[in-house]
Amino acid sequence: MKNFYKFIILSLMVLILTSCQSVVDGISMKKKNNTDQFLIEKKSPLVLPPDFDELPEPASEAKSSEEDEFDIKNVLGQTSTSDENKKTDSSSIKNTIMKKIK
Amino acid sequence: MIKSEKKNIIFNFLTVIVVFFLDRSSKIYILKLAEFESSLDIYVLPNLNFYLIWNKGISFGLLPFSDSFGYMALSFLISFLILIILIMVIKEENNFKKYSLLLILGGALGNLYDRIKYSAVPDFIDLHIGNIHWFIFNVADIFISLGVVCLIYAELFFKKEE
Repeated sequence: MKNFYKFIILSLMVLILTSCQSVVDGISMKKKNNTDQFLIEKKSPLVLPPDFDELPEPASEAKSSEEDEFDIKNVLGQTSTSDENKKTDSSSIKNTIMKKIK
Repeated sequence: MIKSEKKNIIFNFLTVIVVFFLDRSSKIYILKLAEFESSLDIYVLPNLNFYLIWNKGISFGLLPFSDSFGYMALSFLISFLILIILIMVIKEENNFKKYSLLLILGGALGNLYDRIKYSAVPDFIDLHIGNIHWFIFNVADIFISLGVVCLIYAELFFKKEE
């Protein structure tokens, strides 16, 4: 009887102190621990911003684009005049050189 | 007389250290290998693989505590058992039984160290015949099982001889 108790105590000792694990448990535990799929964030629903009323209206944006076009035309016009000036300058230089040669 | 006692104590201590060192070095080697790969699965022999898994519970994957309280309680129980084994080693007069208990002590300390350091015990020795796999275990488990088998042998046969 004493041997029987000792045998039970020794078996319990093995059960508690060792740490073996079945292959299936080990693999299933790995799958449970793998939380990568939960790292994907869900997209939050679309909500109006709090300062939505303060934003500029679409019509004013169109005006501004027209103004921009006008400005571009002005700039182009200026460049054309500057080109003419450059042409006159170059012709005057030519004339002076020709005069000197003569 | 005192010299022989001292020698005995040193040999006892060395036995525990050797078992602990063998267990630690094997685990460190396997964990280093696992660092390079996400999962460790090494073919060694036709019936032996190294497959790393972590055990948070006790034998056969029982009591896998996920909460810290349960895990702490289990660790305290194991520490208490180790203390009892240490007392048994000191009291034991039979050398065969004493060294069997020392094997158990060394292995148990190896597993307890992992429980404290990693909060789980790494198991990696996968013995199998074809598709039939035995439970995955580690070097400390081998020494604990060996010690217990020796103790059972001593209990069964030494008394008969006496």
